[in-house]
Amino acid sequence: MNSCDLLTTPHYIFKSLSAFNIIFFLLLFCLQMDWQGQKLAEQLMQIMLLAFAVIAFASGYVMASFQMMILIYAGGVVLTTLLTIPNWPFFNRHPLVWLDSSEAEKHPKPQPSSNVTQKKKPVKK
Amino acid sequence: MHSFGYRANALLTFSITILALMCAMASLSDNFNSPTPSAQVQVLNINWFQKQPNGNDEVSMTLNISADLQSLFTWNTKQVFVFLAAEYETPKNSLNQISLWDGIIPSKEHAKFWIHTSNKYRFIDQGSNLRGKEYNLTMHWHVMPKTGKMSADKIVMPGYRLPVEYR
Repeated sequence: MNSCDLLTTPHYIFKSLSAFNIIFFLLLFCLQMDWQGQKLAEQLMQIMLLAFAVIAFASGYVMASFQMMILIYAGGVVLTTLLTIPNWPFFNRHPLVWLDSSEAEKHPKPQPSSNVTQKKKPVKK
Repeated sequence: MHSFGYRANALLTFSITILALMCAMASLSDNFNSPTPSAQVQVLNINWFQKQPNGNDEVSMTLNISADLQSLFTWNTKQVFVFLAAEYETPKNSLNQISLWDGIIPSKEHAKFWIHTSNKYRFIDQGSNLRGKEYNLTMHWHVMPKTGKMSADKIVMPGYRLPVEYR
């Protein structure tokens, strides 16, 4: 289920929001990223978390403070969450280009051949 | 990674895996610490020494305990539990351990201390074997880390002797 389906969203939610807010919300949380954006988001997440873990461990060890390590890492996780989870515009710089419909008509869908249907029937017995 | 939920899930699992790894490394880093604790105990006075009506010997003593356990503390140490036990051998038991005093050390600043006290817990033998008995005072401690395995060690201080007569 996609929680962002416009048809199932109650109207009273929209009444309290301006058009700008709705568009912003849809852009950040509902629309799907393009392929390049997904790869970028995953790599960014992994690199940022690892970098913050190294920084947190090193500073915690040097300052002899376990709490400092946890705080720095928690800060890093929050920052990574803000940067990689919403669907920011920079994740959508490579939109998929679909073929024009006139192009599709030139290459019609292959029709299922009669051989295939004959083969299936004996299996169903 | 195509939707909000997938990215949130991936981030949560990856970040918690790394957190577990960091805790394991913090626990392993304790192995680089080689502690050199020290402890001295003086028995200042035997307050009284008597046989209970049921036949068990009981002693009350005044102790002066001083210890430096600062080297036990690392960045991964939550607290140290320390207790002083009298240990001796009787014909019935090869090892008798009687806790006389204990304490919880919450931080490195409190780990170097001395305390002048009578025994916090009663020193009662199982039977009547304490007259003239030679015993050890042993400082035991348990290190409780923030993450990882608890560890325990002790310092044995031999050569204490109880009086030959009740008083």
